[in-house]
Amino acid sequence: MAVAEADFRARARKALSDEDLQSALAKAKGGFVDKRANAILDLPEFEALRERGRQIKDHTLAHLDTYLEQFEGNVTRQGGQVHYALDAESARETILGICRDAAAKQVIKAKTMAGEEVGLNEALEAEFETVESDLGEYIIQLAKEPPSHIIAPAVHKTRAQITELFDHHHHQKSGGPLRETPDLVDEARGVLREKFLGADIGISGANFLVAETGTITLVTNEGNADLSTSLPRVHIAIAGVEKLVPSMREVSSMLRLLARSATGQQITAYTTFITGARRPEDLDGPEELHVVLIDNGRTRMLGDEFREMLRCIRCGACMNHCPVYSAIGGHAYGWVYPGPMGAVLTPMFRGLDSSQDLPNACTLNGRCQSVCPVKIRLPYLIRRLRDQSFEQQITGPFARWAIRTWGWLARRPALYQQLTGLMRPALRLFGRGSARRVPLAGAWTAGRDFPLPSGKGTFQQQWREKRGEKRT
Amino acid sequence: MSEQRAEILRRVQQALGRQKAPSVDIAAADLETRLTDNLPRPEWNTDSLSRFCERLEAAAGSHARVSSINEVPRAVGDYLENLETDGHKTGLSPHPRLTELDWPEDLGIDREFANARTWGTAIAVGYMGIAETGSVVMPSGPTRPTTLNFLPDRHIVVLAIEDIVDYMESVWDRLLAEGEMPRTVNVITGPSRTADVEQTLQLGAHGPRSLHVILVG
Ligand code: SF4
Repeated sequence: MAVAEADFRARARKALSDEDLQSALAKAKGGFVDKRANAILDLPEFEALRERGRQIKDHTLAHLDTYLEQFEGNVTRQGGQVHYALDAESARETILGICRDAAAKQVIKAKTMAGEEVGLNEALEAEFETVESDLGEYIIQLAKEPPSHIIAPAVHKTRAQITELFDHHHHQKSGGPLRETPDLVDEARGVLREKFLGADIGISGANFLVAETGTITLVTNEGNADLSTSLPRVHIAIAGVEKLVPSMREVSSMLRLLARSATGQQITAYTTFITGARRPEDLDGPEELHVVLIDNGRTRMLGDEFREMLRCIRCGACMNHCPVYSAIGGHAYGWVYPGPMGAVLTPMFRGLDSSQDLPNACTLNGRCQSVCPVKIRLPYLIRRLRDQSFEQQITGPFARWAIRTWGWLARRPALYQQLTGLMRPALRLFGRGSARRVPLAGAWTAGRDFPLPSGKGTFQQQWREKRGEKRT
Repeated sequence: MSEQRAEILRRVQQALGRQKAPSVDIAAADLETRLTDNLPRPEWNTDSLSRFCERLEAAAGSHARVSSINEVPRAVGDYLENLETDGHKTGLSPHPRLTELDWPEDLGIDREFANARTWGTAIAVGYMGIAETGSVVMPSGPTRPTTLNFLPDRHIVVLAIEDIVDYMESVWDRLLAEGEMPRTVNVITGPSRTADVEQTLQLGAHGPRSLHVILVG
């Protein structure tokens, strides 16, 4: 999706003043968090399960060559075909090539983040009638917008906006009354059913790839991925190489983690395991199965300190629990992966120079890490990206000067204390409690008040006093 | 294409610092040394059948129980009696356990899989049930076409109580002991749903609007 990563600040500012967006985010907020919390209450072993998830993924990444070869061998044995793509362009070309060879006219898509990552939709739409079948993806396809959440792509849309989109696209009218959710869902069901039945190609992602059997695992609640992968003549699945797990036993553990972390379910309505193409005795199913495995920066991460990010199972828990994401939504992050995981992945996949604001849009509060089902140290990785941005001189001159000055001061405790001691009475000049405006802090005070010092002395002075009191 | 394959494998191995992939057996041994806990899974203190029914209901599915397979047609009639079927037909999955039954005329049963796209209700036979999650397991094959699990508005699954196991892992054990993985295995837990409109749960997104399990035994 072609949204520039740069200019995060402008987009964040716009998001904060977008009333529709804020109302949609307010509705979503809490929902995901509460559902996950309840699902975990039900499973006291959840912490042990997270540890197991981490172990399984670490093991798989450390044996990725073994499992890639095993997976490929099994898919091929079962009548499927595995393709490899080093980058986004070759992923698009491979998929377009398969569609052309099949003389396709209509393509039906189930949600795939890997597809978003390589900009698949634009490429497909130029040549084929291409329809998204996940309701959220369908809504944003009509709105011509990228997803704003990896599991709830249209979470930023209000019911009024969806009514307007459906009225416009299905009935060529506008300004109609607000429609109820069942009515909207039913209408989309009817429109999309025709598309499922007419498509020659179904494209899906993959939640997991199982090496032992050559199996693609897909989880959905709507059943759209299943119609997309069982009705058309050809099924194409696109996935990152890191989606592998060793066996059906391990995928069972990973599924327990994924459903709870993503939607607070014990399992999604449909969990589907696809192994190869239609068998001679089958009555339905696609004649061709193609699996397109993409690198697109992943093998580089495998070899550096960001390897653990490849454990990510794309559950969305980190963004659901992120105060920054809850305030600005997903689009402000500027690319397909938002929130904490996006703050790491976007610089990894697209380069730090165009996305250096993302690692900074983080308070390092650590909630993301504490909910991540595979225990990725997101705040640590975000801090490492900040370091890199400083080392590579991407950080702007003023920020560099400020950081350097602060660093210089912090190494001279006596001077540091003297200066902060002077700041206190200076700030008192602005009044008591809090102030609307403080020089040099215009950006900060634009959205909130600046707390002014209270009590006697700086924190360090007070600390010394308190400790002194205790001792006597 | 095979150039890209070779290049990706080369990069993977460079990142992992080796030139040859360890064997599957060596990998498997490494995994066992890494896994510290016993398999962490939910536990419950009722019997498997109660757990299955409780989880199925929690997922908005329904169930009924009969003591023998011959009572299935009557149970289907009871279930459909109170439903609005809009004149759509009820179809049978081509499974001998269903097709050999005596189906009363007034149910207007269609046995032609070719007509499946017009059916309002489909009746199929579950391969196994999973107590942990209240799921039915539907492997594809000539007696269990995949599309039947998704096309109709109402999905009825006939499941032998003895085929309910506690955990998903047991399904793989049995399937793989019987042979290869089939083209598709659908693990189905309740009817189709979406929360994509303002995070409000709505049943019947693209797949069946209802799922009814007839337990036999
Ligand atoms: S980083 Fe962790 S919490 Fe975030 S999407 Fe990935 S797996 Fe989920």
